[in-house]
Amino acid sequence: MNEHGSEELNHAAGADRTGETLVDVRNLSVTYQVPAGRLQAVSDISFTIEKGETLGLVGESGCGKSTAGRALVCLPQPERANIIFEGVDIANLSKAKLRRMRTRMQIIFQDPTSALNGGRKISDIVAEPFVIWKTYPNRAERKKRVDELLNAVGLDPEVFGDRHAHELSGGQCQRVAIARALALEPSFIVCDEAVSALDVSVQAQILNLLEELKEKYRLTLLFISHDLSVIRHMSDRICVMYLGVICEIGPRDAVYDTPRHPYTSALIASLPEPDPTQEPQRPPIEGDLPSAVNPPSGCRFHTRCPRATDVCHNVVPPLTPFADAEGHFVACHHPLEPGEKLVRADDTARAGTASALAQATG
Amino acid sequence: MTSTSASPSPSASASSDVPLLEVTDLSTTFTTPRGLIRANDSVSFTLHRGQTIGVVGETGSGKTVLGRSILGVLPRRYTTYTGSVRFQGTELTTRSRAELAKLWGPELAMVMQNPMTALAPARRIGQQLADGLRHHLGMSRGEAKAEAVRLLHDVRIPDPEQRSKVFPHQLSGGLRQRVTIALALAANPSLLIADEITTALDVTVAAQILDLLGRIRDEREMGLILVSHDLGVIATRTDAVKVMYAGRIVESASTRALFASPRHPYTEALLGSIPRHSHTPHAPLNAIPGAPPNLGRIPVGCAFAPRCPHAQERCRAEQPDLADDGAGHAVACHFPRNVPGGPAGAGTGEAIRVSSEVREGPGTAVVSATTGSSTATEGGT
Repeated sequence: MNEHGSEELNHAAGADRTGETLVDVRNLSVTYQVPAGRLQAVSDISFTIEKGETLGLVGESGCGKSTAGRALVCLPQPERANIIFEGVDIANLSKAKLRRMRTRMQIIFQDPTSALNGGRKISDIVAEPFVIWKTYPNRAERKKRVDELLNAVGLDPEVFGDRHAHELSGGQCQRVAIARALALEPSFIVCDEAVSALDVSVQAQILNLLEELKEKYRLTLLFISHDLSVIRHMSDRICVMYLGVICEIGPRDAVYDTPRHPYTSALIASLPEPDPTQEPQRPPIEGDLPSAVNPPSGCRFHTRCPRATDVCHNVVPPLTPFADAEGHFVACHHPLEPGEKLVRADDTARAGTASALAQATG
Repeated sequence: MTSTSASPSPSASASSDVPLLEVTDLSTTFTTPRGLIRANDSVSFTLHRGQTIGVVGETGSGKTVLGRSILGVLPRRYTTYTGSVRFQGTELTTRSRAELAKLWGPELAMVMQNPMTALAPARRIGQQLADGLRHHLGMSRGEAKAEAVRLLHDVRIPDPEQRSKVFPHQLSGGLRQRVTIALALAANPSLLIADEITTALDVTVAAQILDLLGRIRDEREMGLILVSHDLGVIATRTDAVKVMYAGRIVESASTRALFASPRHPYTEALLGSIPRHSHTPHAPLNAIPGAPPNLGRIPVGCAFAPRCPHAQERCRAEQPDLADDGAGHAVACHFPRNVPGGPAGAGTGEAIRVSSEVREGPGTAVVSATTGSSTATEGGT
């Protein structure tokens, strides 16, 4: 499925958009050795990221989104894959050459307080990349550049430069981590749950900052989050993952407004809008994510999918293009029609169950 | 119960004369090596049977301490309570820990955020449930075992007979949280405090758990306090909301009224800071500048004043009281928003302007706004 899928995917993405491809991921798999066996966190996925766009990667915990994001910046270098970044296959590069490429791509992690050394001064943390790469050997010039970066992320260098990381709040630490990521002027930044650990009021500040910096420094972002409303806000295209595979990928509005994969639809329906006039919906799917060590056969979502049939148990659905939007791909044997809602499998039998439960609880 | 949905039941509030829970001027103070920390300050509210109250706030707003203060589970050596907590008419704050412990389970129960630490790792879940049943309800071993299976069935755990024999680590996060709910419900409490119970769960699983909790509340006519930082959860699963900031309730209203016309600038800003369905992607969000204050260094006057776009001199000098408008909508603000006849509210556009100003001049803009207070709420978080 995947080689075929990836070619079509590249073709479709390239045909519609004027921008060139910045990252081209082909057949990426990542396997971890765990006590229970071999855990395939990411199974043979392929996608592209265009220059200047934000690709949102969404899914529940254990779906492989963080693993995929880290593999893209070679943390660690994936064993079997082609990751073409700015024309170079970084997945098959020597350590020394990869190290050079690292200046072009950066990653921002979820927990900003553990990403920074609490005992170091903020100005030293941000200057570290310059020390490593021996850029700005002139002390005054280096300080000027560090001040510029701190200003860019909304921290006054006079106030914060000499503070230590442990004195800062979570949001301030995340700003420092962003400044450090920007230091070497990368073209590509992976944001791995970059706002998930922050309070709601602070989260909005960081989202605004990322949008602003993306514009200013012409960045390309891979924005990873479990929060679909944040993903929708930040992304130009959305990629939905489930148990190590891509279920659906496409332009933001196509994926969010007319989801074709039942899992995407369930994810959207499970997200409560902060509006009390809306009746809370019954969750459209039941159960938890199955173990990735021993993933279900066929379509990996079939154990929770109300639309699953025999074919879903046996045949892996290929990622196929949909005509409603350029570059909209869905891996499902029984995709939803545009606007169709996912109906619970037990909705018809619901009345009976409810009365039985009422009896049981007495 | 006619409906199995988890929707709030607006009619439930008037079901009995004596409220299930009446909290009046409750303050909780911790003695720490760094001085006194007032984690709850003059908190008052009433909860009736069958009603769900949402408590919403950010990290350090005192929402978790509130739940624990009601139960009286905080370490007594370091904790001072003032004010009153009346449960079905009887005062709880003056009771000894041993007396309170008798109420934990049959009357008052709590479900915590992390189901893994709430369960004993080396005991089978059926045994853990049976322990509580035998202790509180004096059941025999056999009765307790059967009842444990029935409870697991109640929280919709598939194959409860088999699952009662497993250890917590053998269950997924969602199933584990169901077990902690079963534990809390074991002795049929009248009041359940659910503290961020879905925060550690995935969205599709969280929806199932909230749905379950709503149905159980209806079945058992419990009072439910739902503590969460998630406005989506609060909006769809509660009858009334208390918004907490720096240990105080800053706004209190029915859920519909609160979301339709938030009066405290903090509530208004909080609602504006989340990317909603109606929000245009990539458009700037109405971020609140700065960060929530440290409870050990709460500013003089209104605690939100250093971050508030509408703050005036009075806000930095004088702490506003929570004042009710007579229709059940109370707000602690000198210059409330969205009040009929008051200053025009809905400052969406205004808030955008203010927040972008602050971003342009970080540090300076907010530092100047904090003059007169000793807090360290610097600009640009």
